[in-house]
Amino acid sequence: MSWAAWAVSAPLLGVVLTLVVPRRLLALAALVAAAASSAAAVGLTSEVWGRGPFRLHLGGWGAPLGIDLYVDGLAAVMVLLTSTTGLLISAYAVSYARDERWSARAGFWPIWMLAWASLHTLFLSADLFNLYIALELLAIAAAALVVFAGGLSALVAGTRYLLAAFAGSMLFLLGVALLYAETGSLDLYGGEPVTTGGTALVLMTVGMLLKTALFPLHFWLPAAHSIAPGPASAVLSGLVVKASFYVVVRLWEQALAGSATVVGAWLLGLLGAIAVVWGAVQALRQQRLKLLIAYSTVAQLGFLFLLFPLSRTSGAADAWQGALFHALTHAPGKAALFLAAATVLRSVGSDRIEDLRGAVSWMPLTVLSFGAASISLVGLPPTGGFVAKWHLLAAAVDAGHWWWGVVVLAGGLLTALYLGRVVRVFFVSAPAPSIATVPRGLDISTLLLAALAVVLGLVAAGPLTLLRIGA
Amino acid sequence: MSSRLGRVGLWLIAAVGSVLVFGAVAGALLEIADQPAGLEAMVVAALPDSGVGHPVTGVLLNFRAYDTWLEVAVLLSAVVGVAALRAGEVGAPPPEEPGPVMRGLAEVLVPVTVVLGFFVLSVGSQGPGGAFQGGAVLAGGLVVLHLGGYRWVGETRPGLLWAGLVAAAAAFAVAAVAPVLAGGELLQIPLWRAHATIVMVEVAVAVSVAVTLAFVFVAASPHRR
Amino acid sequence: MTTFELFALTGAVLFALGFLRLLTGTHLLRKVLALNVMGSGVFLILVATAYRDAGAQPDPVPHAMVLTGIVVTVSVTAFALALVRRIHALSGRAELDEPER
Repeated sequence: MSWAAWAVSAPLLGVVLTLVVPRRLLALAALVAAAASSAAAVGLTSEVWGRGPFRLHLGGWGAPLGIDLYVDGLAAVMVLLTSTTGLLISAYAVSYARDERWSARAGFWPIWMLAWASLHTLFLSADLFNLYIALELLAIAAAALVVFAGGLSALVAGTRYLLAAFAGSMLFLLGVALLYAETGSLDLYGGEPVTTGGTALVLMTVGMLLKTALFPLHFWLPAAHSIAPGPASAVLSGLVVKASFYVVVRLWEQALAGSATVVGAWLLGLLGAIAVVWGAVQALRQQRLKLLIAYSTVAQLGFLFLLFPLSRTSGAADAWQGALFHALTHAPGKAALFLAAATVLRSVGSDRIEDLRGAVSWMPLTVLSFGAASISLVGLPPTGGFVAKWHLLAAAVDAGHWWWGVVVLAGGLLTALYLGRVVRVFFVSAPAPSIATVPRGLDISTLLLAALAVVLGLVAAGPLTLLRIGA
Repeated sequence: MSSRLGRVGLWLIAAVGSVLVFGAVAGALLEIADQPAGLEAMVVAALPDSGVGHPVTGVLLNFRAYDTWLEVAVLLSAVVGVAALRAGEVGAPPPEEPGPVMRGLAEVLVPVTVVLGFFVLSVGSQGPGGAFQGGAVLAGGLVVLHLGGYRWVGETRPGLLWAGLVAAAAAFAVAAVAPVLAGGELLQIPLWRAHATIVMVEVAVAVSVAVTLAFVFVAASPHRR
Repeated sequence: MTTFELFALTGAVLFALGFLRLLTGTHLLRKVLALNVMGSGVFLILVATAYRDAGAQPDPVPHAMVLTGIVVTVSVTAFALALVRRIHALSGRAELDEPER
């Protein structure tokens, strides 16, 4: 019996649970499912810590006839990240939900459970076609997260996202078809396809870049992530975009590593560098808080793609740890930013940054969360963001490719500029506007997420060791 | 003027991109055309242990059952997404007055599709057919029923509709987790109960597919807001 | 030209045509249809892959993949069409403006 089986089953059971329980038990059922999924994630982490990387043969058959789950340090870290961040976002959503749209039979909770199920599957599956289905499930659930609260602008943003994600899945599936045609196997970590590998890698990578919103395929993200309700934005920016990045990592570093070219890796790094600068410049121009945070996601995702050019140099180990640790800390940090913004929006009724002057006097805890998460995103010590950037810098220096280091530093500086601008506005002394009271629970979960992003820097040794298992 | 230029530029880039995609894919396919590689030998060898007689059904409902479980989740996500657009409401009023042709067609076709659907479902264990195919035929029957001005029980009793929609996911959850609780692997289907398990799951899937497709069609119909 | 080559190349053509229309079409329905054509292209390639050794047993795994793929594609399409319908009902148009980059 392995925890991996529960890690993929618990969220799927949660889906059924949230669709059959009576309305008044809905939040409770969702929290039970969330807790069960998190417990499975913790169990899985300790299992891989003790046992090393392993495979689980679903149905008892074994690849290539059946479908396998593959668990190594990276997979366990991503599952644990999903569960921890997800549990805290769920706690926030319980307090935040207040109208029909949230407690409806087909509202936030079943959609979120479906997204959660797809994420766990995606991180653990060792089968190419299985990944395709998980990606499509994630696409529908994520688009539903954008549109479920209603409104024409949400519909437009969600449709644009769904079509982009659909296109990405079709490109991915074409790659899978080519790989199967050559090798006769759908095992992700199976043999190296010689003829189709290059074409499949290009197709699948472009598909994943559409879903991860790497420049220049980021066109759908700012609207979708800013219009979605608070907890939905947190899920989208914190977790969903990391899933397609994970697939790119697996393809480039392990599954199709032999077909990956240096030119391609450099191109990914270059696009990442442009994303870092472009996203930050756009964030500086924004007047609305949620749009600013959404553009920040575009920028922060760029850091992740510095992994690819650096992993073919002597700085490979540091690059692996830096980029993946960055994904690890960005999730709770970005979620905290979005949740804080949602709390502010609910209490003031506006998310225009000028309307939030002096927020520290009437929402001190929310501002504290926002500030702490910002420090981690900027990358100041001793936060998790600092550890991630430090490793990336070390990789760039070690490899002699100092220009990637410049990108990391410039990115941190630009992040400080646009996030600092918001924090400064919070601390300006201004008369308090009329505010609505918000449940205390909102601040607690936001604060915990921000604390997680910060504290990850102090306890970095654990996750970093975990990331090395099976790398 | 500049938007005209923009359109032409877009067409050019798109055309070049499409040609490149075609060239790369066609080239790769032609190169591997004479190296057959597939899993037919493995499937045929393992089929007697799977509980069904048809290889495709064996792959779908035993060897790669996890794919089918996720596929059921995808169907469910489409339902939840469409229902969310209507604030979770699943009931449906009758359609506008259908003409005599539509009504007559429904009266003739619906019984045929019901029989055909269940036939396709049941023949799946030994020949081409099975849960999805049968479910799709049944869904067609439900759509024709709606278009003919009739209402079926799922439209008048939302609870029943949701039960039908969730049936497949619930059946899979049971079939997947029960072996784990008994000490085996996830989704393990031992031979002695394989046929029964697969039949149960197939029926649930057919029902869910039929209800899902019919619901999504009705929910997006023109006369609905 | 063998059966495999004929069908696989047709699938590739379908994919490329769908891809072209996806990038250049402005009407949302056109985009959804283009995506479905791309999907059909991939499915055709998969089905072609199943029967390459004339006379031998066809490979059931690509058939299962296509069955599953069709259902998944139909689900995404259903949701997408419901969204397009709703946008049209609320705004009177079925096209999306250029997004802010």
